[in-house]
Amino acid sequence: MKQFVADVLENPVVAKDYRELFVRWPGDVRVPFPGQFLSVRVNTSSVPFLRRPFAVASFDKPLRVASIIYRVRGQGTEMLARAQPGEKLDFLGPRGFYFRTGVHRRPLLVGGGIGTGPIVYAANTLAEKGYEPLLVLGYRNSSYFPKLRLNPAVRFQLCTDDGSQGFRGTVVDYLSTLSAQATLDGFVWACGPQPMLKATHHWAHPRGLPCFVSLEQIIACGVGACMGCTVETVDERKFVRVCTEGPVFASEAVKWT
Amino acid sequence: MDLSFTLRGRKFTSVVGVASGTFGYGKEYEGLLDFQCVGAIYTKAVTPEPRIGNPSPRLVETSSGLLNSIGLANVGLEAFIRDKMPFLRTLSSSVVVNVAGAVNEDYEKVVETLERVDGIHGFEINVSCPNVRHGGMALGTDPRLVAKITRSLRSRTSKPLIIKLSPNVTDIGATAEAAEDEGADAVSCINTLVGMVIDIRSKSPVLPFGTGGLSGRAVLPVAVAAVYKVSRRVKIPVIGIGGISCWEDAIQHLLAGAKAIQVGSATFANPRLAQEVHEGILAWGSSEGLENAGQIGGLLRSTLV
Repeated sequence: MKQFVADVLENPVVAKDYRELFVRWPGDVRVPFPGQFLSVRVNTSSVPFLRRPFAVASFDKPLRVASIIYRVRGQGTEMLARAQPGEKLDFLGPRGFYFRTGVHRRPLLVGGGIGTGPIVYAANTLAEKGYEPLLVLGYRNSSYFPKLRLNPAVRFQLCTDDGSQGFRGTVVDYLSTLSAQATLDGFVWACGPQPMLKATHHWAHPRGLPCFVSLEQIIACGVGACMGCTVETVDERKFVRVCTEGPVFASEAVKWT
Repeated sequence: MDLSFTLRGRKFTSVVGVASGTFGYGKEYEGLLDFQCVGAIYTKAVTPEPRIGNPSPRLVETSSGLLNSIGLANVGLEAFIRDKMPFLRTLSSSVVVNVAGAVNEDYEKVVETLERVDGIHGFEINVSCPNVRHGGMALGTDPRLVAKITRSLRSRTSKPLIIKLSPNVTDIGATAEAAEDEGADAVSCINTLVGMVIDIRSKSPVLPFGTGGLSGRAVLPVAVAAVYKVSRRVKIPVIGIGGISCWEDAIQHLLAGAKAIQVGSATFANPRLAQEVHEGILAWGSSEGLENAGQIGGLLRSTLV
């Protein structure tokens, strides 16, 4: 993890309420792992008071360009939405426990909303490593579905609650249509709104599929110092920090409420 | 200009410290700033036993500030000595252990044990945490209880003893005097202010216990006023904490009468803040023709009637 200044390259709208910020990644900062996050200082004054954490959405190794996909909602992201090409932004990262592969070979990746960026980055990273991930993304309707750049090896399924595009229903409704054969040797990675993560856990767990989820919490220091960004677990740790033990956790360790 | 200051014959290399709860145990900020500029690291509060802290959410951002309810989550005395001290000992910064507990015996146990541990420069006694049901602020808002715990801890340590004062009182000078009378070497002020944020959609307070402790730029004027008031009530040094987001804010604290300062939650946005404040005070002091930081308080032109 480092603190560094990066040049803004582009900051376009990619879906209703969503933008993607592209920055030039400095040569001395290591390549982020899928699921890791960056804390951005959106303003040098005390408004907003805290940095804003975002998980990496893409990383172009030859060009050394990284991006984050963010929802414009509230003071911090409204300021970030005004960032222009050529501006410099202060970053802290990359940081956090990330999505890691194990012995299983069939990735089932689930995401939507604010979780779109990191799960797409995870899918593309797996594809580069020779996996053939199934990526299932869900949205309320097609207007929230951002334009994506997917590796050809990624098998993609879009779901919308209203059926305006792709499968009509939630991501878990779609997962439930998969045959046992289609999930054989599978593992699940998920990033998105809390109800989606919870439903994904409850789908994966009884099927014996290892499931990892990326959780959200308000983060203050982003370096493990303040103990503010905790979430509850069902194991003896009781509370864990999203910025240090997470943001990616085994879903069976999370206390789902 | 000389930025060092001394407490009970023990020297701190800079008047700039990093406040308890905002800097972990130091290691978390390794590589993010020059520790040579950090005179003192006030550790995350240490209690005799590990504490898991309060339920989530623990944080709410406010206008130029932060409301927290961490609940003294910490690794406990034993793990602090075993896991955290080895790194802290490698630093040039002085290590001041922030001590907390539920009852007086907890504070006594931590101080007694750490008195014999190498590399500890002094103690800051947290009698002002607003987020615990026992000990904490309940202790720090009653001058008689502050007197009692100060006396007890004074008898257990020969190191600098700093009492961290609560602003959640009508007369902060009274608690400061109680600490001074019983042998404290300094008082630090202020701890966080009690605050509440309500979510109007759910119609309930955001933090699980309702209230939390407010810090950040928003509290700067409250802190400066407290430093001003306390430094005129006691002869022992006042260490200014509260709302420092840049070196100019630190100068306000020093002009108000603080002999040293701590930067707190503004470090979250700017990890290099302590270093920038150290360098800023140095540059400003030199331009003012000062020889040491201790002279700054004397520069205040008081036009109070």
